[in-house]
Amino acid sequence: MLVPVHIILSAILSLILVPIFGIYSLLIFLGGVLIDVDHYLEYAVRKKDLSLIKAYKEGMMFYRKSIRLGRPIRINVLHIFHTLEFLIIFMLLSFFSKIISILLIGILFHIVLDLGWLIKRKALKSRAHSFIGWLEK
Amino acid sequence: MSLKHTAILLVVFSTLFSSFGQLLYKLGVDKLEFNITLLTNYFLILGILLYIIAGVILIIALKFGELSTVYPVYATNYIWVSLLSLYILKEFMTYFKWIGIASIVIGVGLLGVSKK
Repeated sequence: MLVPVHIILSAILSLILVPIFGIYSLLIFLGGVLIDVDHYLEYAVRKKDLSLIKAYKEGMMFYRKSIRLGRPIRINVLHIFHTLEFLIIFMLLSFFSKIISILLIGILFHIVLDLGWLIKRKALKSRAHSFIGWLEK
Repeated sequence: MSLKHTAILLVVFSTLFSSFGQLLYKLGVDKLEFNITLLTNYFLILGILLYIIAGVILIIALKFGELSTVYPVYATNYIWVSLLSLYILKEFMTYFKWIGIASIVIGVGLLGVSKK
């Protein structure tokens, strides 16, 4: 799912939850948005280029192309913060910190949206869901 | 910051993950063969992993809230599965199914009110 859509939806969820969590609601927004930093990291490592604008443009190009062709352009791409291992570490940490547990809500919201999007577009294999699985391939 | 609400939200996400797990089971079953390909059935494997994640999220939720408060929210699972069946599997929803889902929503709401 596109980053701007995540920003908008995370902001909406965050605003809805302000009466419950107060200022901590911002953590839900941060969790839901900052997880996508790994898209930039993947671009930076692959292309050895730190340009955020180029990374965004390339992502948009892949997105448009995959929509046009009706299938993912790339397979088994590693987005490290979207992997099972990262989620497990975050879930374990949330046992010890209330702050992290609220961040986790934002991250889970993001992953649920992505899952729905990937299943709907029949593109589940476009992403590596496990770091260990990615290393083996 | 309310711990009870954190717990309830986490349970909602736990149900979402388990619903996606069930959806993937359904997608995986279409390609199910009882031979070595079972080990490479991507949908089934991912579905099982989502179920495990859902279980862990539920455990975290139970750390923050009481079982009697948190568990009724688990019934929202039925809502997500119905919606996913409708939008992704393109299954047909009858009026009775919608009435059933509405009953769950009302029931969970009543349980929430009765806890206050």
